[in-house]
Amino acid sequence: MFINWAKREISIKIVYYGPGLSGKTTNLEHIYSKIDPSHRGEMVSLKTKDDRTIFFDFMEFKLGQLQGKIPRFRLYTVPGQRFYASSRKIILSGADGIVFVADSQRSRLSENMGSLLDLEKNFIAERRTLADVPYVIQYNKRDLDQILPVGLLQKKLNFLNAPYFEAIANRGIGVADTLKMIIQLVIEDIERKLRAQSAVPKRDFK
Amino acid sequence: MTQEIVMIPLNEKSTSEKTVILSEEQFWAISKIISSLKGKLNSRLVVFGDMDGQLISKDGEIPGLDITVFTALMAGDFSATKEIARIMGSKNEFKLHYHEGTHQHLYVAAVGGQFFLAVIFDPSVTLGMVRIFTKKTIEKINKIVEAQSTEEEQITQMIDSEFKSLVKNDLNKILG
Repeated sequence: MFINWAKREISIKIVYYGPGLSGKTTNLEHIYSKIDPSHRGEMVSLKTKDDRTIFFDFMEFKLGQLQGKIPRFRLYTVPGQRFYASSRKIILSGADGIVFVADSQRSRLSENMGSLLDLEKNFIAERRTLADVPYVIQYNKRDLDQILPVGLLQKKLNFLNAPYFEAIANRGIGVADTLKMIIQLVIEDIERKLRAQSAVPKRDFK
Repeated sequence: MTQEIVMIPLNEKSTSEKTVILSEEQFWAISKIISSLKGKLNSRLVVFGDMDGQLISKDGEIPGLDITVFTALMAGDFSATKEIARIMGSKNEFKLHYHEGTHQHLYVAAVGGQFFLAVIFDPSVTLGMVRIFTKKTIEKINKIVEAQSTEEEQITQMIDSEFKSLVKNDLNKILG
C-alpha cells in the first residue's frame, strides 16, 4: 500500500493468483471492459506467442474523490505455469490483497492445490503468510461439465475459510463480486493497520 | 505476523511488509528536483516510482505513453534483473539499466532499495551527462527524505466507516 499524502491518493495492489489457464487474465479483461476509460489506464499483457501470460497482466483504475481522497487500485495477474516461479515471486511483492482463481474442473484439482502451496511458499519467503493477507477465492469455470462440487473445492482449497465466489469469468459472472470483496477486505485491513500505527510511539529517524 | 507500517525515510530499504507513506513536503520536494533534472538533461520524461510499480512523481509527457503502465513495467524490469543477478550468483543487485533506442534512450537507476528514477532522453545528450546528473539527483532525493513527516496523525485517520461505505458505493457504480 502506498499513500501519497500530497495528492491524497491511496494506492492498493491486488494480485490475481492461480494455476495456468484458470482465468486470471479473463478476470482482468472483463474488469477492464466494464470500467469507463476515464477511470482506468491501459491494460498491459506480457504474453508468449501462444498467448500465455509470461510475466504479468496489469491495469490500474481509480475511484472518484471520496472525502477528498482518491483510491487507486493496481491489479496484476501472475503467470500460472509452473516454470514461471520467479515471475510469480516478483509480482507478489507488495501485494495488499490476493484473489486466488481456482479452476473448478475435476482434472485441475492438483494444479489448484499446487498453486496455493506455491503462493504460501512465496509469502513465507517474504516473511508473510496467507493467513495475514486479505484473500478471496474464486471458483471459476462453473459452466463446464467435469467440475467438482463447491463443497469439495471448499474442503480441499479453502482451509483459511476465506470468502469465496463461483464464477464464469469469460461471461463476466462473479468477476465484479470477487473484486468488490477483495477491495473491501483490503480497505478494512488498511484501516486496522493505520489505527494500530497511530497508537504506537513515533519513531525517530534522525 | 502483523504487518509493519512506517513513515519511511524513502532511502530506507523497505520490504513488502511495510506500508509506504509519502508526506506532502516530501512529494513536492521530490517533484521539484525531478523537474530540475528534466530541465538539465532536456529530457522528454523523468519518472520517480517505487519498486512495486507505483508511480510517485513525474515531469514530462510522451504522446501515447501511459505512464502508469510504464512505471509498472519499469518495476517489473528491475525485479526481473534482480532475479537474474541472484541466479548469476551476484551478491549485489543491478543498480541501473540503460536501454538504447534509435530516437530516444532510457536510463533507469535504483534509489535505495525501494524506488527508482527513470529518464527518457534524446541521443544528442551524452550518457555521461545523464549518469552524472542522475547520480546527483538521487543524492538530493535521499537527503530530502531523511526529514520526518509531521502529518502522520492525519494520515492514520484517513480511513473511517464513511470512507469505506463511499468506496463500496463507488465500486458498485463503476463495476455494476
